[in-house]
Amino acid sequence: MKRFHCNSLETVSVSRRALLSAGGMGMLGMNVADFLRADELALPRSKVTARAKSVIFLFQWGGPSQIDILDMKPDSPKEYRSPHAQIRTTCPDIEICEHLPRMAKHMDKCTVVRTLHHKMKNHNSAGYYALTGHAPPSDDQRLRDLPDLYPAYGSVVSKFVPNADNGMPTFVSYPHVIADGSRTPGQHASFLGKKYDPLFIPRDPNKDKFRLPELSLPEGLSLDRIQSRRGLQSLIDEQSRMLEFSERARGLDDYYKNALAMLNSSRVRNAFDISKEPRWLREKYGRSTYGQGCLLARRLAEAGVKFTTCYFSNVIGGRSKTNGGWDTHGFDNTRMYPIVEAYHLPMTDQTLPTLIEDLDQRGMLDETLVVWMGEFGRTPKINKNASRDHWPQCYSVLLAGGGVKKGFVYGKSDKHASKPEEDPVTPEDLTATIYYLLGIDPRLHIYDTQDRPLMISSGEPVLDLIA
Amino acid sequence: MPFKPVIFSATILLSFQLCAFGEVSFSRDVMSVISKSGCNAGGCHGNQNGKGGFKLSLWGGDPDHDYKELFSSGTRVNLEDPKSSKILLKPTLQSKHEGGKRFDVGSDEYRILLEWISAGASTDLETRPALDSIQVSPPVSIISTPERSIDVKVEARFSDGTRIDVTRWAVYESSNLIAEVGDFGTVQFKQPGETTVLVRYLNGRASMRAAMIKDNGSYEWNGPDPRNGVDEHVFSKLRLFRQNPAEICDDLTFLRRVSLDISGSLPEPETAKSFLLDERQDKRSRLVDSLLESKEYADYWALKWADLLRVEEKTLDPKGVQKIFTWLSEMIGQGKPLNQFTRDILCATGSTYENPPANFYRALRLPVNRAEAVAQVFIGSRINCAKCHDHPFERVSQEDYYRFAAVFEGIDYEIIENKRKDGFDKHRFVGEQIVKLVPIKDMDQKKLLKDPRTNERPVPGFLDADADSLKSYDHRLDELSSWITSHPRFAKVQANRIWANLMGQPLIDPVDDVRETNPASNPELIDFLANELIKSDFNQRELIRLIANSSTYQLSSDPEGISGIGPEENFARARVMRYPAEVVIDAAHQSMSVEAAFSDTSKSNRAISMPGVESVHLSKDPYHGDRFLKVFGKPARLTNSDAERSNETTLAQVFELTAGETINGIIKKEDNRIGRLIGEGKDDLQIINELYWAVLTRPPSSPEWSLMLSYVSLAENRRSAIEDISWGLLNAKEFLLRK
Repeated sequence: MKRFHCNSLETVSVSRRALLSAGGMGMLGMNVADFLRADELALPRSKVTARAKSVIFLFQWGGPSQIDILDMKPDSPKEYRSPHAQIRTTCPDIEICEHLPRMAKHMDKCTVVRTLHHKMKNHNSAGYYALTGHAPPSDDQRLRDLPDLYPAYGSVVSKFVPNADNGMPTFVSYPHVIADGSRTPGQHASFLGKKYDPLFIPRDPNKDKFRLPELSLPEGLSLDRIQSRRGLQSLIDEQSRMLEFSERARGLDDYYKNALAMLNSSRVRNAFDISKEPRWLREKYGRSTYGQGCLLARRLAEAGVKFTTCYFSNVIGGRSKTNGGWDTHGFDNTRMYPIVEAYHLPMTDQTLPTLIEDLDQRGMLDETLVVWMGEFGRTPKINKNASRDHWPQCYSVLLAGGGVKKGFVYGKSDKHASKPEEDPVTPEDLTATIYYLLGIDPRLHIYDTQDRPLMISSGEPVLDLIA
Repeated sequence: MPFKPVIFSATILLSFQLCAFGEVSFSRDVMSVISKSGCNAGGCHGNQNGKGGFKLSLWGGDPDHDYKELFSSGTRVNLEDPKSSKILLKPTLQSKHEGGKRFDVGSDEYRILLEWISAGASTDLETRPALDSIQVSPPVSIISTPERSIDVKVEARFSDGTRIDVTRWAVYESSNLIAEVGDFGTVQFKQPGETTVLVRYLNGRASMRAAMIKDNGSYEWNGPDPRNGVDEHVFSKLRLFRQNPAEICDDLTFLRRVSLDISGSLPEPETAKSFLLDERQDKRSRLVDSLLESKEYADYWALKWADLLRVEEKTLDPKGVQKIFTWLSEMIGQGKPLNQFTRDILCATGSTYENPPANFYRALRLPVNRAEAVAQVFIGSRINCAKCHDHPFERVSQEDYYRFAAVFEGIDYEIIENKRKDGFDKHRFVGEQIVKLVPIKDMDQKKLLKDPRTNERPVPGFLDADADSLKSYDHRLDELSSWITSHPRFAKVQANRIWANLMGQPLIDPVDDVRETNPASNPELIDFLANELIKSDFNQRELIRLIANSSTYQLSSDPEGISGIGPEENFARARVMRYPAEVVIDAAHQSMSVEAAFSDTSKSNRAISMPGVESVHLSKDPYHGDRFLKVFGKPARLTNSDAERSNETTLAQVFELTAGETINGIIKKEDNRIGRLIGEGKDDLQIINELYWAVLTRPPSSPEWSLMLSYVSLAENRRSAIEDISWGLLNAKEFLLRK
């Protein structure tokens, strides 16, 4: 349904679902071509030019510390100061944690935003905020994944700038469903509809047999056999004539064509076949689930996937030197620093600079936006466990490529990195910036389960960080 | 505030329409300029955060706020130098405006605002005659080519009895892209079709239906005789649009369709064969009767209700889910009238194990959630908009919303036990609860519902402005049930839902959004169905019988050979659509004689009888069949909305059917129908024939005979070849889609 809207948005907002069901569609012989034309009207006539072809979103579940990594305050009192020293980087304006020496060599390619801030203190609510750019209805530790919550970024991207029909998905996510007690909302298409869900791969790219479940056949079922089955199906479909008179039947049959094309084509299979990467490069990314996930993200961006989300971990973690996320409270007599020194920081220093370097060397960095962020930062003051708790009031995000400035810091936090002092940035603004870089007007509308028009972002793009 | 009578004299009216000389009223003229120019739209200053630091109420719902907002910065309205007021400079682009140009210097809009500011920019909000209603004429208009446009007139009626033509100032929108409405109320069709024009003026809302039909002089009615009122209304619309319906479908198509629609289950091959041989004239209606008496009918329609009542394990726990599902199925099986059924749900208190419908309130933990659910499910009122602002399309104000929500205050839970493992998860309950009505004084006073605008506790009452007020607070749920079940929308929304479930397309769309501004595609038909439902004492079976026995229901989906055939949306032919997840997977199992095994607590072996959703939505990695249900859109039941279930088709579904474990597992199972037929020593011909009947409810056609027989005889492995054929049948469009 076309709704009351502000013409200045340069869009004609039409919900395809409403259009299909408005009782008028097809009523007097509106044919497919008409429908497609109508649907074209729904696409944005955006003034925004795309800077980034792809986004690689590296989600640091659990919440990495700002004050220990990208926004260090070496002159602050001991109870705030990181026990780690800061080191100079290839960008004179940026100093980072001494445990990221390789990363330091690539900071001249990055933008650090030091003033991201919001109010959600729980992982699930803050996580949803970070994954969608929309504030959750409440700061609920077990926020339920309701269908009236907003879709993931990648789903919005699938809706507005889907990949042309070449079999390559627009939005891919892996290798975990993230949760904290209950599944974190914001990982799928929600009210946009299943069509815009990510191609989600619940598999470990570090395993030898890593493959796309959709493109792998059950035992005893060869491609040839599927082809013969398809032949039988086609004959049966001819008898019912449904393909001739039903648009829905044809739509369904098109999916069979696509599915078979994907099963047959080496292109899609290749994109996911990480074993094609040279051994040295795989080693360089690190033979870990996350390391190979970062490498896979590059392969996918190369193959044309527009939005790839790679989750650092399935759980908030923080108590182990071998797995889990960044939630280092020091609970159960654990301590933050030995843990991040042994696990999180080395893992980050192996993967993030490798990805940025790899993209750069392939000439892909300018059109691939890398976003490295968590759901919040950590308390500026060190707690009684010699660790840090949740801190959404001010934290840092690293951006690289895709049209953002190189070697740039946006925003300034106060002396303890506890609140923004200059140029605060909301998650909404960051979202608007990501959409803007992808050439998607952040003011475009989507419609929820109640058919209410909602903007994909209520923030403003941070134009100052764009090159 | 100075007293300023608002005079609607003829001269003023006339000049108002021309260019607003005379006395400009803030509440009437300025507010309508703001709306007409789109300033207060959701994407602009009407956004909840405003734009550029200027926030107006959405579509002018709160003129008091807007008046204050205009003066909250000294520059928006400049009394000293009216022409330099920002509200004149920005929309005319004399100064930078992100929202672009809204009107020209010297336009009517400009002059009205200028006039108002020059005269002191006062408000007449307290003295204004209220807008009673707006009337659109004509209410319905059908034109035929070559005529392409319709002029709409809008008249506003105020509380002092004045009526003015506000065509120039109303805001129009067409629900369908086939037509556009100009600023002055002219509906311009781009192609033949039908649309609803939504009209708003100040806080008035109205709609009209407009259609353009292709003039084909040679039209002649060519359709079956009407069998009942359903046909009369459907056919009369088709005649009006100079269209014809398809032919009545054949017996086997009818058998398959009606079995799946009413009982969610496939007919067995024997049933199908004997139905075909049955020569009685009334065999179709006999079949409808027998389906309505089946256990599957009760379960399948209980499943539909379970979707609407949030029957899910996290809040109700597996036992509660089982209890209420069984109760729903029993009530439907017993033919409990829908109004009594509704009363049982709305009044249910007590143990969630002993009195299963009490799970309705167990699932809805807050007064606002209860109010929203009750309004949406039972009277098709989507009131959630009014939580934050007056409803943009309906006459539900924020005040109404909180008043209605207050009816549901004082429902509390005695938690007998809660064995949840995760103490942080306040949504999860494991164990018995007693739902009870608690006197307000015993409630946690801090948590009581407050109207956010006044910060006061709302006075409980029902939604309509003219509804009776609550007589006894202690008996509020009884009064609520009476109010709901006698509400004119109650029968309408239930009839619409039953119709949609059988026909695949509601008359009022979405199903649970019944309002004046969302008219039915066939208003006479929905009224007829609602009346029939009331006349039968809310007997669902009677309404299903009426629909299923109509010619309309029994039309073919194939338009072949009919000239001037109407579209699916007008019910000129049967609607083709994907069957729900549960129906598809059950049909796959049943047709291949494989017992399904889902991993829910009840160990369900039929998806239509699965009480809850835990194995599908609450498990981390759902197993085969459960995963299939998820991929095919079984809802998680986290809202009370019909829209939560998804019947769309996706690529993931086709991968599931092609390369997934579920369908392949069913086909490969050793002792399935294929295994049994081979074991019984049946020849290829017999096996192929049997499979066709079991999966598609029909015999093979002759091209199918020859291809399938040679496919098996040429194959190296007979069983594999038969499996391939079975796959072809289970992936046929006529298997997955309603034909």
